[in-house]
Amino acid sequence: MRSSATAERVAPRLGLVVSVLLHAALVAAMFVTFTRRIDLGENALPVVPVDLVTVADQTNIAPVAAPEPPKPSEPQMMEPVPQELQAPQFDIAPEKAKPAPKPQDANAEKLQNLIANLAQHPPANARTGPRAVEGVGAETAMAADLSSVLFSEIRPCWNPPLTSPHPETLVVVYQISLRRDGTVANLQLVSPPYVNRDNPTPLSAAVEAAERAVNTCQPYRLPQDRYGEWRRFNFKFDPRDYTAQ
Amino acid sequence: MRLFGIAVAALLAIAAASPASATLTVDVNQGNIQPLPIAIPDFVAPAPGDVAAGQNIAKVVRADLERSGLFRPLDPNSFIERITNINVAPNFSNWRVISAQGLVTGQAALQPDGRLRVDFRLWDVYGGSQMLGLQYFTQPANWRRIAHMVSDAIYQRITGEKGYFDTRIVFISESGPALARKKRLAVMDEDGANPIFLTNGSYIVLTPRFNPTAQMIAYMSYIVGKPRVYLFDLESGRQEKLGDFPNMTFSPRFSPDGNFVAMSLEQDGNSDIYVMDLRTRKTARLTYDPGIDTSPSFSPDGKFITFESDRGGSQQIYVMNADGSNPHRISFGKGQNGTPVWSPRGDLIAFTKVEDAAIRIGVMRPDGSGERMLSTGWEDEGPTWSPNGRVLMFTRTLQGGRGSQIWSIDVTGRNERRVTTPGDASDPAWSPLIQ
Repeated sequence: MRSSATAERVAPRLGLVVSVLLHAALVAAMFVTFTRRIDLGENALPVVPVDLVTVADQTNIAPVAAPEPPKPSEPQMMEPVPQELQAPQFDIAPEKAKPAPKPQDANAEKLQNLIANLAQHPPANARTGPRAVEGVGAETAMAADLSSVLFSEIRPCWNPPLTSPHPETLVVVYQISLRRDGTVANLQLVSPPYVNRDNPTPLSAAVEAAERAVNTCQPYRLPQDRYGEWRRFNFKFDPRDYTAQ
Repeated sequence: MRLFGIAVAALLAIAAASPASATLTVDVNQGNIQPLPIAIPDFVAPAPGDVAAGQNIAKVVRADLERSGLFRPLDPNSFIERITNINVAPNFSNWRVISAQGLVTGQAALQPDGRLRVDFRLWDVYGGSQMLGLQYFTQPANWRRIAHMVSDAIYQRITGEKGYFDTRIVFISESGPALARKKRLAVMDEDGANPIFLTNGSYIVLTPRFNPTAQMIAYMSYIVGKPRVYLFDLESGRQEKLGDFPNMTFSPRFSPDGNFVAMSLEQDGNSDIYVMDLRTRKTARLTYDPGIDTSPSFSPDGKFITFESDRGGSQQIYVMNADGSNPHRISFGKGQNGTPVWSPRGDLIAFTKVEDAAIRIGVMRPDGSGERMLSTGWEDEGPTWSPNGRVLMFTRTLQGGRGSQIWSIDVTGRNERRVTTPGDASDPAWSPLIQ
């Protein structure tokens, strides 16, 4: 009896809460959907071709491959490629050879050949690293890719502050705005929020070292078609791995 | 009703929350450690008589910064622009072309009153702005010190840590055959210039140590046949014996405030650590162990003393409170460890390690963790810290009795290089910044 009375008292209130929460969820969902749409607007195109271009950028393979422009006029020079993308064998024809490629396939064939070759014997000058392509969706893959391009651009320019006994206090975050030509339009210190440069400390020196890195590295060589993504981003300079314990 | 209020507040909070901005953050955790390229043209000379001073000062500044290993002064032959007026901003694009990141413009001018006036400005080439501008007056003979002070100011502005160029090194100059070695107390500038002998070599001098607050040295000498600790005032040239003990005293070191000297006193084959108050000349005994306790060194806050002792069976490093309480061992690595010296920054203790027939310099944290060996010689010993705690100097004995030299190394283990000395030298001690 008592419990049912309580239930009756609670029921309308519970209904109200559920209703409000559901409304809240609806409003939240609208925001999420809205944001997604805006973000996707510019980059809803297929990823694959862009991805290939980025590989060339990042690994510096392009200059090595450049001296060998594909020559469709000499298809007979090409050796067929085994299905498993193994290293091509130029002296002995593989047993399970495909029929000779048609002339219009020569480019694709050469490219495949090159990729297979590079995968097994990367050129000595290639700066290859683990590619952080996360399988959550096209956007994630692209963002991770862009981050590693930006990292490889800034890395040679940053002279990490050394020997402070407390490196964890020298982490600096800068927001960078770039122009379309890759030059720096604006630099905004995010963390620490403020430093007094007239009173030099290891932290102010770390801030200035980060600033010098950003400035000396320009212009940044980044994919033009993705300007919307790198127009503004943050660099987080973290010297922890460098500083003497 | 209250629940309703909470629900409305929750709704408002959701509505107010802006859509998450998707700013890409790139984690830069690797860089390229390289000396900073800096252009230091000869200082401008308003009168023909000032040309030499301007050239000399720029030369010393270039050498100072290069020696630190943190800067790469660019070859003056590569400069495109000639600085003629330091009060006009330089054309930064001319300096960007030669990839200078810093630019120092300066002027040295003899004043009508006979003093030398030195001005300089440090420019951020990429930012296109002045980072620092200072002016000094001095006697013309003092130009070298002004150059070191300019170097210190640039070093501090760019690294955020105090410089160490306007300092001196006291050391033992060695000469003569191995069996009749003449050991003289000597002092020179940090860059090896202006070496002066303080004693004449008729008696042996060992382990000189600087007072961290004044230009005063404590050292051990055999002036009267018995080893004794003496004080030497560099300004006045005055020398005095520290206390009158029946037996030998050695291994002195000042407290950070300069008011105390900790040292070893030997009695009946047992060495213990004592501390003397220089103002009252009273001594207090700190260790009572039957083992050999020596090489005391204060922490920069004066609260602790690190020392070496063989009380545990082999020579190891210990830390105790400044009153002698709570002594505990901190070195547990391989080999024997000795001559601990606390960094002026407090974060590290430098020491000498004997292991596998090699003697080398290393550092560890005051709790004994994070041990790292730095020097790469065959027999490196007796470390001394730069006043900013970034650089160590030590004695390097060459293999096969080919003499001894003074070397320096960065606390990161980089930039190991020989320090110029007149002849063989050992046992360096770094002064505080000259006041």
